Amino acid sequence: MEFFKMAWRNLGRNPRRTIVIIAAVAVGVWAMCIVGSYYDAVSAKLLETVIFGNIGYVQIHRLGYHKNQSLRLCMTDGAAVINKIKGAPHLTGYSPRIYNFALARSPSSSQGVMIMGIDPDLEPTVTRIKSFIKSGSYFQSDDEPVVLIGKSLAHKLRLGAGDKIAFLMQGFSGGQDVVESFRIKGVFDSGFEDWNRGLVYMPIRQAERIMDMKGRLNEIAIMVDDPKNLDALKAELKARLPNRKSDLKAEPEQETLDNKAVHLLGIRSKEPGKLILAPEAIAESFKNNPNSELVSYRLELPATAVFERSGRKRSLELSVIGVEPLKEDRLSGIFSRVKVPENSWLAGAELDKELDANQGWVILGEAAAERLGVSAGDTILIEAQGKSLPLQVAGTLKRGPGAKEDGLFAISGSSDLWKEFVGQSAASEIVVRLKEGADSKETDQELLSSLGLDILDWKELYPDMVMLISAGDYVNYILLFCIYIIIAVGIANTMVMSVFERVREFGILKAIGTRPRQLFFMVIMESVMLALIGMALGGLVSGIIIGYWSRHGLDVAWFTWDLGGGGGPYVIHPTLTLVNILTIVVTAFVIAILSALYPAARASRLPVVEALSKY
Amino acid sequence: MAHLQVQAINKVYKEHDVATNALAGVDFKMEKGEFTALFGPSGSGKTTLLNIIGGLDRPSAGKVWLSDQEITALNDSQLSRLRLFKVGFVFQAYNLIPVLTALENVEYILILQHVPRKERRERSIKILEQLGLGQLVNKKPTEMSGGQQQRVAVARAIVHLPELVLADEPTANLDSKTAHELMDMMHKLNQDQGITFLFSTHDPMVMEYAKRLVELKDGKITNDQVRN
Repeated sequence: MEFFKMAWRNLGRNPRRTIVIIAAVAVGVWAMCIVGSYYDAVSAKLLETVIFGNIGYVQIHRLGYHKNQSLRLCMTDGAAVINKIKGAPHLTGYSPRIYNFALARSPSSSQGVMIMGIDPDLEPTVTRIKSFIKSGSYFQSDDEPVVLIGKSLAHKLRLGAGDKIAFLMQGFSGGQDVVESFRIKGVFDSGFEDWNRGLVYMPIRQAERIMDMKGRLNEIAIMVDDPKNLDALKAELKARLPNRKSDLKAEPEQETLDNKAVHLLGIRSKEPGKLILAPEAIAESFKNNPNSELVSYRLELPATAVFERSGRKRSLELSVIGVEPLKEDRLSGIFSRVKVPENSWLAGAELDKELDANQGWVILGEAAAERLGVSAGDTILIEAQGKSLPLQVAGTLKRGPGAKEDGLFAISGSSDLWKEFVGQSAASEIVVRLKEGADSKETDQELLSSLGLDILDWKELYPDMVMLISAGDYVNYILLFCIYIIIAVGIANTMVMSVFERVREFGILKAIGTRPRQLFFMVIMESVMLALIGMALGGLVSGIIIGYWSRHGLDVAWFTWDLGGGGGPYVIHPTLTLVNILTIVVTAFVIAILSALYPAARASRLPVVEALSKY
Repeated sequence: MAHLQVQAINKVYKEHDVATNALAGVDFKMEKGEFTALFGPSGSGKTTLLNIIGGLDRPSAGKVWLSDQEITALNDSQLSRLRLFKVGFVFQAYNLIPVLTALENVEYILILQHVPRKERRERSIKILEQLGLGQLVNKKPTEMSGGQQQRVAVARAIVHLPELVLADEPTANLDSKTAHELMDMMHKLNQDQGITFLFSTHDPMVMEYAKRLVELKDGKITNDQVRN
């Protein structure tokens, strides 16, 4: 206890020096608090802008969507996914979304944009979209033909709330471009320039309609009750949405094209005869595989072909196969083997291209043509599922795609068959042409496992953001390190001076029986007291300043990067967390002890006689 | 065996390869209750001898026993303990701890000895009152005169009832009146309480108080006489 008292009183022996070093420690601690809380606040603000502005904490996609944002790479049954995640612990909101690239046009200009189809009621459970509206208003229902555009886009296209904007885009099935105009309901400022310039919100029903995405979703964004529970929520979502074994199977096939073997993989349902609906979504996943060169689909239906000539009617059971002529020709080469009569308008033409651009055609197997007694140019009826479709015979073919050896088949355009017999896109088989040298065994597993879902949190979605925040942290650490060094040198210098001035006194203390470790402790105590007083003062001042900023906010727009360049009032609210305070206090304490080690050791090791001879 | 026995002590200081014999074969004995003055000119080795006897310094050769303990064989930590329990020091320049009051300075030794708070407080006040310093207990050294400081230093040197008090020119910084008063006080402590004093001086007035005079010259004892 006496050593505490002596250490405390020793601080008063040179008040000016003590005050200067306490002030230095106080300023250092103040600077550490301010720098720490400022960077934390900027990082938090940046994160908040990104998470609450658009991405949410977690997103669910089809595997691969995050890297390749294609409309077709979608969850084909969005409602089923939503039903599974609803009610998950820690989930406070979810927002189903559809994304599609489009060209936005106004009378004065055009700009590439990303259209984001959102549910107007659910989106605000994840983002603060309603608060972003700067003019006009937010959506009132999910099927209004209106959009919200960012302020930078509005500026570029010279449009405002109430004006009309046109979009040009491709839908789910590809083919013809869709062009449609929408009224601008509101203009938003998300605080992030990329979004202000390139994002257009559209009610999800409208997006489904124009992009042919009914029931399909590209993304479900999710909000967690507390960021601390993020991992728990992610684990729960993964448990609820396991990437089950696919109900598809892959079988290798081989074709010979231009005397070269072509390796194909045929992907079918494990249940014989079951159709794969919306095969475009699956084909999109397969296209992303580095070993796949081409993906196409075939639809095979049992049908009856009917031909009537001069009152004589013949009918024949056969398989009707829907193909995509351009792609099918590159898979099996059948269009180059079709026999076309010389008097046909198709004679000498590139058959696959001609047929791809036309509808209402059929190519018959030679055996079928013979039995029906038809020749090129005749029109036959294909009857299936109680419906019939008239098609004109373009030519005949000995062997069909796949294993159609018997000649009892008819080949037509798949879109004709979808429309007439299925009512939507469907395939019996998705055929993948593999690149040369690709291992079909490995690839079939890769293809089937690429059909699951991806559950990614914000760090995985925006690794740049994590890097930016950690870069900020490093700057912060470097600054703190500099401040620590200044404090350490200040304290060490003070203590060295103080010890050298008292050499004789330490000699006396040792002479009358004080042990070296007691002297060591006393010098360390002096240093710790200096640090404690400095820290308390610095902490008090920081607390007052940061408390004020925390309540009233600190506008940093004038001296920091503006979180994306979008302008707007970038007010941060620095706060001192317990971790901040503890880190600073503990560090300053450790520094006080470390910087006093040398002078304390000097004091305790002084030879008594030598010390006593000093004046 | 004598209370203090110094046997064939040599002390050689080496500086820039030049050896100086501060003490050259000192033999010396002291009994309990002595009041002995060590005198001689400056540089004769008085302080060196006192430092070696008090365990502050080590001889180049020779041995020292204090009440049957060979102090020249002790390590640093044991020497610290010896100084704390068996020896009291009075220095020429008073050497009180500036941040402590008179009472705290006296009490300090007892704190190091882990004497309970109440007892050490009582003992310290008693000693200060005995030495006529009752009014000064709460004064810091800077608020006292030289004589008062040296009396507090004596109080500090005897509060733990040491076996030997070593005083290195205790009156050198005092005027003659104050020096008399201090010597009266030390003499009285020797008479009344039997405390053994060994002090160095070259002041004839101080030597008058001594019961035994030991003369040191060029590191050797040249004269040792007991006065009646």
